[in-house]
Amino acid sequence: MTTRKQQEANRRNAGRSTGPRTSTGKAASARNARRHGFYAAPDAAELEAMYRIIMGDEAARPDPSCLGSRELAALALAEAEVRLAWLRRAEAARLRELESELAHCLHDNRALLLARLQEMVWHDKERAAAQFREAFGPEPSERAQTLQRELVTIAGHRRRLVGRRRRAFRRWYQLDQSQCDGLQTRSKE
Amino acid sequence: MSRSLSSSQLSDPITSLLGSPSLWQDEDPDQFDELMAALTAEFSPATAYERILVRNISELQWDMLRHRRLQKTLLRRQIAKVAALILQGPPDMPFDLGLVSPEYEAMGRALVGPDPAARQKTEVRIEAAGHGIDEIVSEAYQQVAGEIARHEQRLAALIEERRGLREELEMLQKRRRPMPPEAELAAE
Repeated sequence: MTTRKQQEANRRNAGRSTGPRTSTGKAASARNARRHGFYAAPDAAELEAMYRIIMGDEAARPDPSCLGSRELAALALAEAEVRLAWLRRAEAARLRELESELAHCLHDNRALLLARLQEMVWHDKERAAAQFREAFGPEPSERAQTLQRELVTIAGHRRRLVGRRRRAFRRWYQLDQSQCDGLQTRSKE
Repeated sequence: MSRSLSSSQLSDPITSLLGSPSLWQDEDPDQFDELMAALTAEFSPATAYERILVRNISELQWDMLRHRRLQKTLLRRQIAKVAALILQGPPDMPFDLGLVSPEYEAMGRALVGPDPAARQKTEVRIEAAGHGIDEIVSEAYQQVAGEIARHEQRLAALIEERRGLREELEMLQKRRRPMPPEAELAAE
């Protein structure tokens, strides 16, 4: 178990870190969010459109600097919705590409391949990779392996996002409801 | 004052925002549309966001149907494989599709195929070889039980997710519904 002293030392060391120093390191680090785009910021236009739909107001602007808590909750919900929709599209595109990559070992077993892929995606990364090699030969193409790894990442990311979206909805609904109740009370008075 | 958006005004923006449904190459977009139409009729979404929730529920429902289909495919293929091996060789032969001749492979497929006459022919041959269909199905199921179980796990997660979305949709619709006159009087 890590002792308190060790924890403090770790914190001090981490605080001294200034990130990558070499130009190669900086370049690699700069690509972190772009490698597959799963964690990159959502498209601003899509986010704005979703925000307006949730707010039910076509003139609403999602500017975090001048939003109240209800609007910020709507923005968090909009972001989760847009990310989930994007992930669905990304997953379908990768499955289609993987299917083409593995066409040589498919023959008429296309449905079986899709069944196996779907089933594999829900394993942890190492188990999925091992099973992938077992099902499709010892050396699937580099691209096929990358696609398979990305599908596993998407599945994990999606699970987390579903939870985040649900919490964002509850928060937004609560705040929206409070505002509606407040307006009703004022109108009765 | 903010302008309220009706669902019909936003039906096209929703499609352009979410994209077309994520279907696989062998899936029929018309069938997805039918499913979506049925769910839209069931939930009657009145706002753009309610429409988005219905679309998300439709995609989850589609995923669930897909998993059921994939499970069925896995099992049918395994039944065909086991039947072919039983017909071809001695019962203690290792199950390996690579060792099956095309003739027996075709017979195995006939057992799970759409042609009733071909199926019956294979059934007769299986019985003549001293085996039963139940035995073949049971053996095939055991061989793919792990894969089927993982599809079931995924299905359970999808059902839970769909339940959550339906609850959210109901919350929004309940809030939108006008209070019945008696309830309004009681509130006053």
